[in-house]
Amino acid sequence: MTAEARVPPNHLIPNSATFENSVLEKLAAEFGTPVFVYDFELLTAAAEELSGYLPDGSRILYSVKANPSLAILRHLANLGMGFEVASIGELRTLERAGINPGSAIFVGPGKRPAEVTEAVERDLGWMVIDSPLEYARATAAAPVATHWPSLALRLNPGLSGNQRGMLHMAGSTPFGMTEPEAVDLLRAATRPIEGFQGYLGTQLLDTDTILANTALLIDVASRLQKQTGARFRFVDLGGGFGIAQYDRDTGLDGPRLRAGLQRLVDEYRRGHPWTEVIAFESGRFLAARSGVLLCTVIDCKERDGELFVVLDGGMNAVGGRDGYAGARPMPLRLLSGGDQSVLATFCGPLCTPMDRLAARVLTPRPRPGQIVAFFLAGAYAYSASPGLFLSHGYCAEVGVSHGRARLLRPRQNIDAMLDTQRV
Amino acid sequence: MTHMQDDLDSRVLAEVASMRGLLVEPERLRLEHRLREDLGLESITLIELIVAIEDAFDIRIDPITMNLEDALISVGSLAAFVREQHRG
Repeated sequence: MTAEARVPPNHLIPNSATFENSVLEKLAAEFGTPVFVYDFELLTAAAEELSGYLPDGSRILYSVKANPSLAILRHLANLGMGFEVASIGELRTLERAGINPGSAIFVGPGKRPAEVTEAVERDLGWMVIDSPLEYARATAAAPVATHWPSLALRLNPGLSGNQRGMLHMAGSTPFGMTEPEAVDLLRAATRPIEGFQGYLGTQLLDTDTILANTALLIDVASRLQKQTGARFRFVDLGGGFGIAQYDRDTGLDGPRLRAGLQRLVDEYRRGHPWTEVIAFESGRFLAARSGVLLCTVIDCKERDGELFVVLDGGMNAVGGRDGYAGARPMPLRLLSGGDQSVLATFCGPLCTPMDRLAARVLTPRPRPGQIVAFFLAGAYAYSASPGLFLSHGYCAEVGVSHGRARLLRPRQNIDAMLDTQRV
Repeated sequence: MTHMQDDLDSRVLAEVASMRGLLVEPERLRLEHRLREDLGLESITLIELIVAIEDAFDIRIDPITMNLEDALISVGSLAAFVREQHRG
């Protein structure tokens, strides 16, 4: 039966002093709602956790799209992370955070010719070529750069039969080159292509699937070099490391993941001693758990024994977030209240039934003016939010480090956006 | 191509039948019924159905990264999708 109550999976709330109810209440009062709060110690903890899952000497590239807050980028750079950008805007964001573009790779289909040129001029780390046409654009742009750009290619290995549909980013997608295209390009290229990148899935929680994806990419990278004589100094094996978000989720099996990846990478390195960097990418795993979204209850409406709780933040703050529209709730907490006694659906302020953050969950009875915290909101939330839809604007962002909170980005109301328009 | 209705089909039919506000009486529900046009399911109710199917079959159907266009046509196409997920 679909109408049954769900209990939010609050055992998945990260352990942090910042996430104590009294602390969050104070932050909501000081900075207003809706507001994102990021705990920098949790970012550090996530980076250390992921490093522990990866082979020795691996480079981690943070996917800027997950959360491009300057302070988060700066913090991750201080921890030794590299970066994956998917637009020139993200590359400029890195520079604004004081980060050398040399620590970044530029991926993505549909890089505009001007973006390719600008990225090459900025001496980014690796330009990941998505198609033969893009190779031509990059090489045409290169003479104006002070250094010849390091070129890598994005490989799309197609779908293999035993992957249970988990290779979301391969097969019939606009991403990357097929193996025959890559072979042709590596043979025809007049400038060396010395890097390889693949990315096969996202939010993966099955350790075997990640190991199978990695083995698949390593096989293709090996074949390409054998067939064409290319030598990849840089090999980016993607990522897709998932976090437990919902009631039945179990997190990755770290020790087994590490052992499996170490074995695959060791074997690969033995056969390819010219390899300088083995990289993995991560966005959600690094950033999601550090963030919480705080909203204020605006109104409560009783309908057929169910309480609709209308908040000042919803889809306008976090975008679609996960596609479930609250039907599978992530962890949440009413910051003041007693026993979990009412069946409530938490909705945002948008005029669409899709604007729900949690549907039919058991919660203490909410009252207007109370604060609700939605956890695991540090990735693909602010940067995926439709702040222009219904003209709500964008939330404020606050960072907490060693118990001290500071405003990272002020709330952006509609005025700033109206200022640039003409009637 | 048609095939005999099996246990998996019956379980998918039961999950669809449990949805609120269907345009077809639950006992008349068949694999051929189209989810949107015949049964009146739409954005929110289709998501509720996906969650119900996930729980019933202990699978995870990521609505963002998996292509569900072909799965969410009819009860039968949904059952075929679930069968595919199970097989892996």
